[in-house]
Order: sequence, then C-alpha cells, then structure tokens
Amino acid sequence: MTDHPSPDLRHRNVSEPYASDPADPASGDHGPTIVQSRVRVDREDFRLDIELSIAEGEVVALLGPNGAGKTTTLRAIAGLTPLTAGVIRVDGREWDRPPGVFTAPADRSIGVVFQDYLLFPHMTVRDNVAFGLRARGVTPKRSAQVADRWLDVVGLTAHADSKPGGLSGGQAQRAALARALAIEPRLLLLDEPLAALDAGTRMAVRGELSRHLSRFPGATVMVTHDPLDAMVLADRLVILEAGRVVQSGSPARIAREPHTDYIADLMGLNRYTGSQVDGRVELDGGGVIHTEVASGGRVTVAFPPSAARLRPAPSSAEPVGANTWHATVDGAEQHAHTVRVILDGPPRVLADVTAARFAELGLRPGARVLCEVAAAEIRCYSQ
Amino acid sequence: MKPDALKPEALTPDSPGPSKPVGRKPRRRTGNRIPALLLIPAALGLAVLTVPLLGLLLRAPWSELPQRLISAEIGPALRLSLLCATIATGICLLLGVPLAWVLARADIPGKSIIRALVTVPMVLPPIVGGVALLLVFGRRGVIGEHLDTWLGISLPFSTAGVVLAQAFVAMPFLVLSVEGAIRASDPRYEEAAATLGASRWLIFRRVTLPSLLPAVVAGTMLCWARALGEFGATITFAGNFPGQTTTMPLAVYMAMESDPQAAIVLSLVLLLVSVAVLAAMRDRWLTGMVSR
Repeated sequence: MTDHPSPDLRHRNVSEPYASDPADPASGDHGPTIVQSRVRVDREDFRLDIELSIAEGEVVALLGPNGAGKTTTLRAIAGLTPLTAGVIRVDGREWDRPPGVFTAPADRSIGVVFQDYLLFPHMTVRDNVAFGLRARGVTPKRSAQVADRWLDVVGLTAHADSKPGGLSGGQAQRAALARALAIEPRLLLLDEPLAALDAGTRMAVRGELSRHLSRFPGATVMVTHDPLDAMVLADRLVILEAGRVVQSGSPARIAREPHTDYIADLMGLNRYTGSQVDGRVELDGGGVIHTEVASGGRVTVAFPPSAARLRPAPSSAEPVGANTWHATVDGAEQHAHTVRVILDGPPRVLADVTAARFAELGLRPGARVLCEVAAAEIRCYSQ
Repeated sequence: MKPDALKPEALTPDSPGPSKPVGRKPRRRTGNRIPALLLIPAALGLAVLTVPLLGLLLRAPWSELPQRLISAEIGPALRLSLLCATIATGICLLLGVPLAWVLARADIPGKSIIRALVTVPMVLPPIVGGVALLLVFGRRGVIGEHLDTWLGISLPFSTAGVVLAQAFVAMPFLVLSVEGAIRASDPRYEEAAATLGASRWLIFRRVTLPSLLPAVVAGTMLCWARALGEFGATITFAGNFPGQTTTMPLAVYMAMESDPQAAIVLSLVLLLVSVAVLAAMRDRWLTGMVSR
C-alpha cells in the first residue's frame, strides 16, 4: 500500500465517474493552472528542455517527430524518468525538483494510458480497472463496484470478467482508459493512445476518446505523432523538435501558420521563408511570391497544396502573371481522392490535383507545367 | 522510449494465425532428405541415451514390484528422499527467487561474477561440493565449529545435512530458470502498476510474480528432480545412515552390492519420477535454455 493515499481520493466521491463538474469543451476557457513545469532531462546525446503549463480541463497534445522528447516529457511528469533539472509543480506541490524533491509515481495523482495499454494479462478486465483503487487501500468489494461503473462508462461491461488478451484493440484502449480514470487522477497522461489501432477502429475510438477527455475534470497531456489525433483531441498543441518547443498554440493557428518545416509538412502545407520588400517576398530558396500583407523584413509564407493550380506550360517564353511560375514534375503520390504532385521550381511546391486532371496534364516526372497559386490562400507572417 | 511491443493478438483477436499457403499443391518429398553421414551418428547418439534406460525396464522384476516398493529397504529411503528433496526445494524457492531477482534487476557491481558463482554448483562434481560443505559445516569447519559449540547444532551426517547438500546442488537450476524469466519480462508492466499507486511489494506480488509463475514452477520442478537424484554431495557430507541420510540414490548404490533386484526397482522409481517431471514441464525449460 502507498504511504500517502491520493489526497483527491479522500476528498472526492470515488464512486461516481465524472463526479466533478465536467468542463465545457465548447467554451475553450479553462480553469486555474494545474501543472507548472520546466522539464529538463539530459542523456548522453540528447537534452530535453521545455516549459509546460496546463490548466484544469485543458487537453495539451505533445506533437513531434520520433526522438523529439515527447514520451520522455510524459515519463518525467509520471515520475518514471526523473528530471535532471527544472521542476514539476502540480497544484502548487512539487513532484520533482532535483536535487532532493522527488515524489514516486505511486504517490502522484496520475492516470497513465500507455502506448500498448499494458493491461495486466493475468487479471480480468475488472481487476485491471480496480487495481489502482486496491493499491490505494479501497476494499475489494468497493473497488469492484467502482470498476464496474467505469466499465459501464466505457462500454465494456460485457467484458468485465474476461482477460485482456481477448479484447480487441479498441476495447483494450478503453479498458486502459477506464483503469487510468478509475483513480480519479488530477492528471491524465496518454502516450500515443491511438497508435496501436488500425485505421478503421481508430476513427471510432478517437471520437469516443474525445468525449471522455472533454468530461475529464483534471489536466490532460497527450503524446502523439499524428496531427489529426492532436487536432481532434487537444485544445492546445505543443510541438517538440529535438528536445525543444518550436511552436505552441491552438490547432487552428498552428495549422495555418507553421513555424518550422516539420510542422508545415505535418499539416500538409507548403512553407517558405524569405524577405519581404513592398508587396514581394523573395524566397530564400529562389522564387518570388506576391502578397498583400505587408509586414516587412523576415517572413514566412505558407499555402496548402490545394491552392496550387497546374496548367500546361506555354510553348513560348511568354511572360506569366503574379504567383505563377514554370515548374517541372519531380514525382507524385496518390492520396485519398487526389494526387499530390511534387514540383521543382523554384520554389519547390506540393500541389494537389484530381486524378482526371493529373492524366489530362500528363504529369510524368520531367513534364513541364505552369503553377499558379491563388493569392487569397497565401498566408504571410513573421515569426 | 518507443517500444513497439504492439501485440498483434491484442489488435485482432479474432483473426486466424499465420495463414496457410492457399492454392499451392502439396510438395513432393524431394527436399529435406537427411544425409546418411549424419543419420548414423545421430542414431548412435540416441542409442547411447536410451538403451541403458531400456535395459532398466527389461530387467525390472515386474512381478514382485509391489512388494518390493513397500519393503524395509525401499520404503524408508523413498520417504526420506521425498521429504528431503521437498524441504530442500522449499529452501531453494525462499532463497533462490530473491537471488534471481537481484541477479536480473539489481544494479550492483560484479553481477556477472556473482552469476558465475551461482552456476558453479551445476558444473562442479557433486563430491567436491560435499567436501566443501564438510570443510565449512563440519564439526571442525569454519562455521560448523561455532554451530556446534554455541548452538549444539551439527549438520554433517544428519537429515538436515542431506537437505543442505541437496539445496547446494539444486538451487542453481531454480535461480537460472527464474532469472531468465525475470530478464525476459517486460518491466513496463511494473511501471504501469506504479503509476496506479502500487507499492513495490504490491507490484512484486500482484504483477511480477504472476507473470513469472510458469518459470518458477518449471524451475521448482527441475530443482526438486535434481535434489531427489543428489548422490555425491550427500554421501560425502551426510554419510549413509539408513533411515537418517540414506536417500534413494544412496540406497541404489548400496543395493547394487547386496541385492541387485532392489537396485533395479529403486532405479525404476527414480526414472519414473524424472520422466514425470519432464512430462509435466514439457519442453518449457529446455527451449528456454536454448533460446536465451
């Protein structure tokens, strides 16, 4: 048994799932800050150093490429990886402040959903969900009752007595979520909660997870490398690259104005940096883009691949209009209903065309086309 | 921190196993022929391993088997053997599982040396083990001297001595079996339990131990079988006193001089026990040893 039972459990009604007021997911307003942290973890060839604050009812997604430090951040908050420096403060209480202060994972008010769920294979689903309560000294009978209510919430009542091995991926994910939520943690930590699911299940589970997260009263941190998961589930994205935060903000803002090539790529945008003089942005990699927004100086220009229109290149070297340039097809890949064409410029551009248009234009590698970008869809911003 | 241990069975429990090739004609038996050069030594090897056991079965006095089993010679030896091997195995469990745990998980210097020391009794001639035990626990031994003068305990040439000799020889089997399982087990389950508020002891009891149970059971049976067959260390350290230290293997040895028929019956019983243990374990331990 733990030396310090979770303070939350003593004061809150353990029996009712979502007993606390559910935060209104639509409002976008969040309660007081729960987590204040500066997470620094040093390894031989890697340093994670980020600041992270999360409000009550807020869902923050840590998004980034492999090895960016997302999972390490999550593990540090959970107490599975101790900090090298910095501090993790939750509700004003220090969980980790080296040297000296360290609260063991068992004594932190956290619920963790691991990437592959890690349901205990030898216990029934009910015992899995009841495990956290049993560990906190709740009687077996009471734990089983609470577990059953949570299984009802996630729709697994029929599977309460089966072993996790018999569950489908989506069911296992829900069981893991119920296990994490049953102890009514202050902090819910999700490590790639949907990565282990196949595409079909993923959509359904994502919607369901979104519903549970919006009703969870505490703070949520979710690690993912999937931008769609992050945008559907999170109120705020924190983008990590090589152990640092490169951008943070609402999904909509990040999707429109990516700060790095990685994010632009993730959001499927064309992104360029350049210098603005009058209405022209001279791109660093060559090429010019005209824009009405005049901020001057160093700027970033971004537009979606759907904003690029392709047409046959004229035979003569006749002059072309603004935001139109000659390009050579470099490659193409099939997306759901469109073909994404990679064009060599300058500037280098991704353009989405329909399959019919693709065939019509004969966009074989090496083919020459004219590429035009609608001015209204070009965003220009300084960082 | 990106373990890709996505268990496929957890994803698609209903999907069939590795699909069989469909629409392919059955292969004719052309390939896979064993070269004769290998076949002959292989058959000889098999004979070396099995013919002696067959001999035992052929010469066994089957008709008088029941009477002999409860005879004065065999009965006490069998009982003593079962008792001592079981106690020795109990001791091995109590000491060996924690030792396996430390070897697998603890971050201590010189762990490889400790592991080597643990395996020494497996390869040491048991009689050497017996001599070593005498030097330590004998009446003039390093520890035995004090046990005798302070507590009045004398281990050599007693039933307790038999148990000690058996534990000395058999414990490595348990330790290695369990250690391998601990090392192969996924520590992330323990992390998951910790995040749910479980203390270290609760994690060990409810999460770690259940996952190790198959290996513990296999190691225990192996350990028990080894203890049951112990001869060299026992006869050296505990001597041969009927009713007190004469276990089955010692009784076999004695009977060979006086009553070979009894020796065969005793051997048959030991063979039966060994086969039973192997059958119960199936190939778990052996495959475990190979794949490690």
